[in-house]
Amino acid sequence: MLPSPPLASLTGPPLAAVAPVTLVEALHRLAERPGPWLHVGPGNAQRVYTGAEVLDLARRWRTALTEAGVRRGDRVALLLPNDERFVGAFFGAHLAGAAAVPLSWPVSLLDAGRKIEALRPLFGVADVRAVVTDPAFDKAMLGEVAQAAVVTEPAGVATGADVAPDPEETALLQFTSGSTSLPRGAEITHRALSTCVRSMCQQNEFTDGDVGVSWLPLFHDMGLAGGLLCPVVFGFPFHLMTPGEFLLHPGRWIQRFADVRGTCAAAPDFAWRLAARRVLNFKGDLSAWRIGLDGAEPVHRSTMDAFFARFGPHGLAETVLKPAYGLAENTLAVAIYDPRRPAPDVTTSLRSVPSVGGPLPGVSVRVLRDGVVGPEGHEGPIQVRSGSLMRGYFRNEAASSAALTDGWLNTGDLGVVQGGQLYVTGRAKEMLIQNGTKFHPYDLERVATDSVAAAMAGAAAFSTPGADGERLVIAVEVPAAFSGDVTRTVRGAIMEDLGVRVDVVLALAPGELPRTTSGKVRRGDAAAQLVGRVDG
Amino acid sequence: MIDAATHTRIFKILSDLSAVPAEQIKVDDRLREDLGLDSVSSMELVSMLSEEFNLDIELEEAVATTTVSALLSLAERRIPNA
Repeated sequence: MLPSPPLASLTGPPLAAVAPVTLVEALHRLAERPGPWLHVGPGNAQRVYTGAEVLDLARRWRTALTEAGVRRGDRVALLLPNDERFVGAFFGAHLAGAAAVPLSWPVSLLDAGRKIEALRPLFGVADVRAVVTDPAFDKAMLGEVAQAAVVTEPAGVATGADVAPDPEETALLQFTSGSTSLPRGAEITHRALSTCVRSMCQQNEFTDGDVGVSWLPLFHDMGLAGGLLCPVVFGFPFHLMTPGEFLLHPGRWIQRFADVRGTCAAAPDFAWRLAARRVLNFKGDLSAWRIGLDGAEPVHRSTMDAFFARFGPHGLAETVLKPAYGLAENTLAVAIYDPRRPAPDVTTSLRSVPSVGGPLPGVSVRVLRDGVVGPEGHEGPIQVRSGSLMRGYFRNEAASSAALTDGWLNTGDLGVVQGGQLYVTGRAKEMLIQNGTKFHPYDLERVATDSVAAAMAGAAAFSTPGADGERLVIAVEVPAAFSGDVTRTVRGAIMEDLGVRVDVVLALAPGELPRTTSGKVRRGDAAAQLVGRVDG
Repeated sequence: MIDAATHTRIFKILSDLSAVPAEQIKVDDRLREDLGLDSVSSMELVSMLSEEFNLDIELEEAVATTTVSALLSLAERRIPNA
């Protein structure tokens, strides 16, 4: 008789019990360190702040928020770009005893009014006391939609005292899942936030000699916990760039690494691919670079190979780019690949999948089969348990109890445990990801059917791996009476309403999509049936 | 006026990014609604243009470029002897 295979269950090393317990304590310690800490703005017009200056800025924001009526236990929305205002207002909210609610900042402000209107359902859930934003947004309109005070400037001078938040108080709501019409905010306590950050610091062996260089949006879990907060805890310099600057000039990000001897960054897979493809003229030495986390969307081996092929000749070590897995419901990171424990890729029916390593310190993962822990090698739902799990979805009992079972988070992702490593083989079953941003298929389907005026028709949105990353596909049933160009109409409408580009539009005859007996489109079956029709 | 060779190269870049055949792209097409370029690919479009013609285009200029005709006039303003 063969021995039964080991169970698909992994536990990370213990998390070292080190102070501080909240990021506010870390900020106070940061303020005692001399020297420049935060670097904002382009290389030729940089604004530089010491830790003490950032603390003063946070206190001035705290003062402005308090004057606007913010009290301990409230929530403060941050609708801000990647600059010192976000950093100051984020900590300003904490120093006022409030939770921060980061909101996505658009690359372009051309349709600011539409952007505000789209946030209405989110504000309905988040129930914020104040919104901190840029004067480019219409204050009156934003205040009406948010039902909150709108603050655009810190106080000139800080007055009053800082709150020292209790570790069990809420630090953060991360609205990164759910549809735009039914947004869900993962509620993260101060303890969970700092646990996540300390776990990443321990795994990455950060010291005060590191240098962070990040353009990731701070409203994104990867940009916040993975970009800004590790440098806060260790006091190492942090260079903050903007998504727009990276997209327009990917070379400036890589150049900054060379110029400041940067050691760490995190970015979605598409960004590493973009940098490998688009940076044509580069001179500089990248040998100080230690860590480049590739996560937030499916990791492609071809991306890692291309990035190393492009920058290896400039001193980049092959071990820099590391697949990582995380999600907002666990604050952020779950697992990071460790090149000291190399592992082969696993092959699924769709593609070759790199390992995301073992769980981080203080984190456990397991893969289920029929509701119990399955054997190694079995592909099934991934569950996560850690000290950085969300408390639940804010004011959403039903979604919270579906997501959390006996202290384990149902990630909604599919994976395999093999040889002590986790492989993430399938995305969150409902969410689609493009260029690092998550979308709910329902939103795309609704806009698609509206655009071809097919009230009774169905649509199914899904994504498939392509030669150059993931491809977003929408299949829509088009009534015979529709006479326009289906691809242009559907793609244009989705772009206009949701800002996401659909790669492939499949026009189907009415009734062609598989449905349940109650008439609902079976999205998964539709994807399996149609994937062969997505060519090129 | 933009010369024919520059015009062809710009339409080639547009076509590569949008997957719309160059001959179907019209001057009054909007990058988002008509060609389906999202904010990332619009940015990449201007980025490729700036690299191909060695221009230093800033973010404000890039986000203001929302139509094919705006892209062409950007090229006309910025590319020497275009």
